[in-house]
Amino acid sequence: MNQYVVQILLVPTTVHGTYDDHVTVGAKKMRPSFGRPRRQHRPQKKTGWHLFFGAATVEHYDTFLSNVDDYAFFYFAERCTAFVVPDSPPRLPTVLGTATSSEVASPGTGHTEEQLIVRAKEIISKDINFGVADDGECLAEDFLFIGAQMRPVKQKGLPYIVTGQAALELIGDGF
Amino acid sequence: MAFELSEEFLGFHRDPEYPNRVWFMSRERAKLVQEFFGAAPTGETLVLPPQTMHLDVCDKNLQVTENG
Repeated sequence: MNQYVVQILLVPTTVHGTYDDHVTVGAKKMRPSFGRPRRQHRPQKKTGWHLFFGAATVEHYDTFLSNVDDYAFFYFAERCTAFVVPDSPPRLPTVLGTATSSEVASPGTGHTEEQLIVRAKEIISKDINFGVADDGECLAEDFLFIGAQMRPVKQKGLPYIVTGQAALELIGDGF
Repeated sequence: MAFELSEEFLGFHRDPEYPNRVWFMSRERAKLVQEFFGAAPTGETLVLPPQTMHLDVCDKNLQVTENG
């Protein structure tokens, strides 16, 4: 018999996503996310929290949730995932489901998927070009661009398209 | 511009968890048509790796709040 009713774990989320993949693939690969995240998965910038609930049986959740306001979790975590870890081997967790703060607290734009896709195609078209062609009118005040992180140019040689002494002088040591 | 860009966007779909977000893929080709950092315009074409991109829009006027 477990001594606990429900275990709660907070995992930081990043702009690159959360640790869902570790949870859904099974107990063995899930464990690293319970302790210190592995170096390659360590977040560059924490943007929020993902709250995980673990219990031995579904009935434990009934006891737990009957005594708390489940919406209160979203005050400090933008996503919540509940899963059951059996008390006996093979101890593979069963993910009951994941809810997000956007689902619970925000109804979204109220636009259909088709409308959003049409709008996205407008934005990437030559007429707007992500705000370049329309002088930024399509961009919100709090617009944020998230760019891919590229390796330094000098790490393993220059890209082959940048050649010649002129390129070396332009890039210099400060890149 | 030194490159002639040929853009392809495909696979548009809405994020099931973030209703304001649209995901799509991009495949780009860049043809070197002018001198670039001393490199002669040989007409070679760079085939850039496919990227997964997203656009977040706000509720009111569908302005872009996040792109990457």
